[in-house]
Parts: sequence; C-alpha cells; structure tokens
Amino acid sequence: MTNLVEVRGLVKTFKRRDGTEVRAVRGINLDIAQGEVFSLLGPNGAGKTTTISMISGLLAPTQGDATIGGFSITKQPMQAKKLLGVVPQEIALYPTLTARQNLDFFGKMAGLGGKELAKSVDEVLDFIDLKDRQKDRIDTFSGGMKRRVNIGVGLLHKPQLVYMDEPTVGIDPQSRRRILDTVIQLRDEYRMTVLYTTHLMEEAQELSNRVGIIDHGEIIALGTVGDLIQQIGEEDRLIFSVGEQQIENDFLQQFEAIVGITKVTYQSRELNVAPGLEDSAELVIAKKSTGTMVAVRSGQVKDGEIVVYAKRGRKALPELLRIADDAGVNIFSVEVREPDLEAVFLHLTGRALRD
Amino acid sequence: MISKLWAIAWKEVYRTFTDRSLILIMIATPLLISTIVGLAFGGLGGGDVPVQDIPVAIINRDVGSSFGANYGQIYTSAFIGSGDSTAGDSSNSAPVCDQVAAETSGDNRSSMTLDALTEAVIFDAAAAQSLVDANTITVPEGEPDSDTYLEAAARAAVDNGTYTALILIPEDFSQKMSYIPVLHPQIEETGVVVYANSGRAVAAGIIRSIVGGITNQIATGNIAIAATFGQITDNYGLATMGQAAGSMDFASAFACAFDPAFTTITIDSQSVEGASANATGVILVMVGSSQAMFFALFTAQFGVLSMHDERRNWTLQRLLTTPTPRWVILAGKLFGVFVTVLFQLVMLMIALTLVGSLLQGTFTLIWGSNLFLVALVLLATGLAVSGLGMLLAGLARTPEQAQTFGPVVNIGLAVLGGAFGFQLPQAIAGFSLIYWGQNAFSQLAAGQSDIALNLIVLAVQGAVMFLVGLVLFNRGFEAV
Repeated sequence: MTNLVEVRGLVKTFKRRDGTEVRAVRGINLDIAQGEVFSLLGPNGAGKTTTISMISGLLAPTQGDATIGGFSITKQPMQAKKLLGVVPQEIALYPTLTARQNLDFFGKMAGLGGKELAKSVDEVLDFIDLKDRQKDRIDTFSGGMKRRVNIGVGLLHKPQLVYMDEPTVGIDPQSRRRILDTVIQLRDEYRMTVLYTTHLMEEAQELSNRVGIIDHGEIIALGTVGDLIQQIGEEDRLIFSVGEQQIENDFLQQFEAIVGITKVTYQSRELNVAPGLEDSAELVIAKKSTGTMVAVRSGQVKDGEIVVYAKRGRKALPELLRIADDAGVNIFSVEVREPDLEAVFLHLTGRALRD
Repeated sequence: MISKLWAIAWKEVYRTFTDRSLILIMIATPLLISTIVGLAFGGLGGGDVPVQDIPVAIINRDVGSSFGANYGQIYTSAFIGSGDSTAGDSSNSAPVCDQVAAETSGDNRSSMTLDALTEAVIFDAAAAQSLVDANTITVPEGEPDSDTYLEAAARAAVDNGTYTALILIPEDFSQKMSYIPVLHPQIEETGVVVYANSGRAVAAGIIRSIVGGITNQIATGNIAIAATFGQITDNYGLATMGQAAGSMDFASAFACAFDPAFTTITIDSQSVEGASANATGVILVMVGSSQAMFFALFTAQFGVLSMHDERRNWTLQRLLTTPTPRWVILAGKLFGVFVTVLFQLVMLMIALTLVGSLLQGTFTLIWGSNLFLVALVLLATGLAVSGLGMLLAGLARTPEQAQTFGPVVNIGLAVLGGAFGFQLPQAIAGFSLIYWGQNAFSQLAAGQSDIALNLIVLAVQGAVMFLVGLVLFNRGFEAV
C-alpha cells in the first residue's frame, strides 16, 4: 500500500525563557498508508500535539521532515497543506457567522472558489446533515451540531489526509456515535486517510487500522491493535477486591501455582481523610473498592486488590475462587479484563491514558 | 492570494458590522455625543447662527506693505465690519479701487462681516486700561502704550474669559505677504496669531478656522498675482515691466491688486459667509471628527487584538493549516481593520451630515465641498488610527496588557487633541493624531484646503506606527 504520510527523524526543541531547551519530540519516524485510519495515542505532554502540529504545518520542525502525498512540509508547505484537512478539538468556527458562511470562508482559504466552492459547501452540508440549518448562526447550534460543522470545514476541499483531534470530546453519546460513523464512512466510502487522536481507547480500537503510541517524544509502539496486544503477551487480568483483609504471601503463591497464571500482585491502599482534616475528631466517608461506603480516619482502613495475569483468565477463575474459599479469604468482586489497547498503553507507559 | 486576503478582510468587516453591541459603541455613541454637542451649540433652524457674539479681541499692528496694501485690515473689516470706525475703513482704500470693487462684486462688503457670529473689538490701550481699572485682568508693570503691555493685557483677557480669542496681526504682515518675485524676491514667513481660550474649544475653533481661511486666501491671491507678474517679466522682460509700471492703467490695477478692500471682496466672500452660515456644521465637524477618531482608536485596537481571540478559539491555527501564507492572513486581518475603521468614519460622517442638514434645515455638506481632500484626510486618518492600534497590539505582551493601557493611551490622545471640549496649545496638541485629523476636517469644512501638513503628519505617523507595530506583533504571531 502506498504511504500518504512519511515522517522521518522529526525533532522539535523549544527554548525556555531561562535559555534551557526542552526536546518535545525526539526523532519520530512514521508512515501512514493511503486510506487507513491511524490513531496516535499518548498521555498529556507526550509530544503528540507537537508532532501533529509539525505535520499540519503549524510548527516548523527543528530537525527532520515529513511529506504528505510526496510534498515536504518544510519545502513545499502550500502543496502539502492542499492535501490536508484539519478538524481541531476546539470548535474552530466563527460563532457569529452562519454555518454556510463559515464553510464558504474556510472553503476560500482552502483554495476553492466560484461554483466549485458552492458545490462543495452543498455537499458538505448534506454530509453533515445540516442543510436545513445552513443559514443559522453557529452560536445557536448545539454542541453536536457545532462538532459536525467543525468536521465539515475540514472536508470541504476533499483532502487526502484528514487530521481529527479528539472530535468526540464533550458531546452526547448519540452525536459521538454519529461522528464515529462519519470517520468510518470517510475511510470506507471516500477512501480518505484519517489521522486520529483520542483519549478513548475504545474509539481508537474501533476505528483504527493502526495505532502509534507516543511517550516522552518518541514512538514506543506502532502497529495494529492486534499486534500491540500480541506485543504485551495477550494476557487477561483478573482483579479480585479483598477489602481490608490481611493477605499472606502463601496465599498469593497458591494462586501463582495454577497453570496458565504468569503473575500475581497484591496492592493495598489506605483510605485517607482529606488533607487538613487529620486532627479532626469527625470521621469522613470513603468508598472502598468493594463498593461499600465506610467512615474512616487516616490509616484506619485498607482496601486491597489482587491482580492475576493469566493467558486464559476465565478458565482459571473457578480454581482461584476455590483456593480463596479454602483459605477463608472473602472475595467481594471479580473483574475480568481481556487484553485491550488500554492494557497495552498501561503496559508500555506505566500510566493510564487519562493520567 | 489577493482573493484570500479580501476574504479575510471582508470577514473582519462583516463580523464587526453585524455585531449590534459593536455598532452601538462604534457609531451610535460618537454620533449621539456629537449631536448633543451640536444641538447644544448649534441649535435648530437654518437661518439661526446660535453660536453668536463670540467675543474676539483684535490687535492689528500691520503697518502695510511698501506697495501700500494693508492686509491686517482684511481681518478687522471681516470681524468688525465696514461700519466700524477703525476696521475696514474705506478711507484706507485707493479711491480707484472702490470703483473696481463695486463693479466686480457689488456693494456687499457689509453683508459679509461676521457681526452676527462674533462680537469683535480692536483691542487698544484704552480697552486694556478699562479692564485693568475694573480689576478684570492683571498685567505686569509696563508702559500701557507699549506692544508688549497691550499683548499681555489681551492675552490675560482671553485667559480670564473676557474674550474667546485674540487675533494678533504682526507689524510686517502685509510686507511679508506681498511676495513679488521681481520686486520683492525674498520669501519670508509670517503669520497671524490666534490665542484662544482653552475652555471654549468650539468657539475658539470657529475663530481659528475663519482666520485660517482669510489668511489662506490672501496668500492664494498673492501667489496668483506674483505668478502673473513673474509671467509678464519672463515673457516681456524687466524693462517692459518697468514701462508698464509707469502707466496709469497699470498703476491703478497694481494698487487694486493689493488693496485690502478689493481683496476682501474678491477672496473673502465665500469663507466669511460660509463660516457664518455653517457654524452648526463647523461645530459638528469639530466635535464629530474628534469623537469619530477617538472611538475609531478603540475599533482599531480591538480589531488587531482580535487576532489573540482567533488564536484562543483556534480559528487562527485552522487558517494556518490551510494553503494560505502567514503574511496573507496577517495582511488580510490588518486590511480588514483598516477598512472597518474607514467604514466607521464614513458612516459617522454621513450620519453627521444628515444631522447637520436637519439642524440647518437644508442639505449641507458640513465636511466641505472638496470631497477629494475629505477622502484623503479620511484615508490618512484611517491609516494613523490603524497604525496606533497595530503599535499598541505589538507593544503589548498579552492581550490583557493591551486592553489595560490601550484605553489610557486613547483617552490621553483625546485630551491632547481636544476631543473633550478644551483645546491645548498646538505645541502640545500636535502630539495627538486626533488634533491633526480634527484640524484637517475643520479646515476643509471652513472651505480651506491647506491641509498638506496634516496629511503628511497623519500618513507618516500612521505608516511608522503601523510598520513598527507590525514587526513587533509578527514576532508573537510567528510563534503560533
């Protein structure tokens, strides 16, 4: 498959006011094939926005280059930008202009004019299903409708590459579903290439042909969702909530002895009172992982969790429960987490995506 | 690229003029202020001249030129009238010229005086003494008949409000104004001093306009005469000129050319009558133009600063991801601000013209009939106002900073420029672009066209501020 986007050795260094330098992006190499949905995932501050800002021409790279459709973003930025449509996370529209006026204006900026512009605007209004509201000002629209116009602006000039930055943030589930369907439609019907960023793993998992995980300015994993799960060993996670019971090492070793189980960990955390209330005679209410609400003072209650990593966790579950029963350990709840992108991300970065 | 630049500029103008609250600030407020002032000072009805009996003191020290002309008398006859015992006395005219004057313009000199508009007096030692005796003014010790004593007394009388303005015509005024390349080739500067009470800006402005108009037209008349003489000398030689000078016909024509009575009739009729009848218009122009520029300063600043809003709302970043060069985006935005300012000024001028016409009961071009020059002043003013907006936006590190000190600068300029009803001396007022704009509009409204200096000051000031602001602002813009 032909690559639409090729990123080679992209580096971005920012200078702080004190003269020191921060290397936000440290030599990224990346290919995005024509017609695929590629999701770039990374925690805040990982370098995701800086990378995409360079690809979309907002920031000049310190080193390296990227091409869109063979056009260098540093040497032929105007040609490269003609192939790019951007859908920012923010509603980047003029609120006092109508939907049609916004589309007209950004269409002109994309290089359209005359009948071609009018035709494109009509098509986009149809596509985002807002033709009947085209003459209404944007500030009279609901959040979901604004998002749709925001997407529409990025599609006006039928770009080969559409960059969508968290397009489903802050909208209702119905509108969210509509936007996800739009992305699928762009890929499957219009054969557009989509560069997608999101905090929602299920979105990335549903939409993406391939995923790149970025952390500390570097791509640390790249491939299909299946590839990445394979990479971390395809393990299920069984999470047992044991509340404030004392868990002995012997008991954990019994778990580990079961065939197919690769690792067992036990974590216990104290339910603390809020800072500043340590000396208070009053008790505060805290929620335990068991779901129960308890009144505690600092350090009074421990909330324990046993995590079992297994190749086929569901199969080992009855045996694990029997051992716990025999040992007199009460299991308040069990959660089986099959390997997903969230697990991959956690495994690779040590952080949840929302951290 | 040009179509994109237009699209950005048009978007700016459209967004501004479809925002009701902005319209209220940009157009309605200055229009209301100007109309209220116009009504207060201008009154209703076309025949009335509600700003009337403006007390004016005149000291005419002009001793006349070597050709016998005394231009100082033009001022006294204009302000005091031919019936006055001192000023405009026909006995000062060459007899032959009375005949010429009557033939060319009719006996209408008395109708052209500013009797209705002003209450002018020749300020002499007796007038000074009566004010000193009445303890109305205090003058430093000195010989009551001396020039310095008289001038100090007149100035003190203006300062305490006895007079709105003092018109001081220097001794050598006529001599220096009588510029003839062959006979009197040196070019020397001279001028009539108008010392005005800063608390009566409107009335003082009217007097200043009238004096400026008369001076300008004396100079224009003399230049024409000088050019004629120059042409005769060039074509026929100095000897022929000398022969011609010896003839009776030439002598009478020459004398009349410099005769104050004659020149008053031929070159002063429009400005004097115009100033009288158009007093309401002059007030509207003075107040309206300064208010329009004051409010336009805010429009320009907020227009440039809206770039920060675009950055915050991500529309700027979205524009930067389109195949549009940065300079086009910035130029389009700034051009939009410039056009918005021009629209604002034009709309205010049209609205004030309508108000002025209503007040006078007939359609009146209160901004003057020289629409080309009005348009030039408009463009220069728009450039200066936009330039200041650009400079402030460039100097400010944050939009909040600009929003804090921008209004302070604007109000400061308005105070200096006389937009708040009191006029400071020109040496100070000249620091304000509002002064130069208002002065240019007022001069055009009074039928004068000597506004080259105003245009140069406004355009150069505007261009320099615009460029410096652009460089400073662009640094931040590049970092987007």
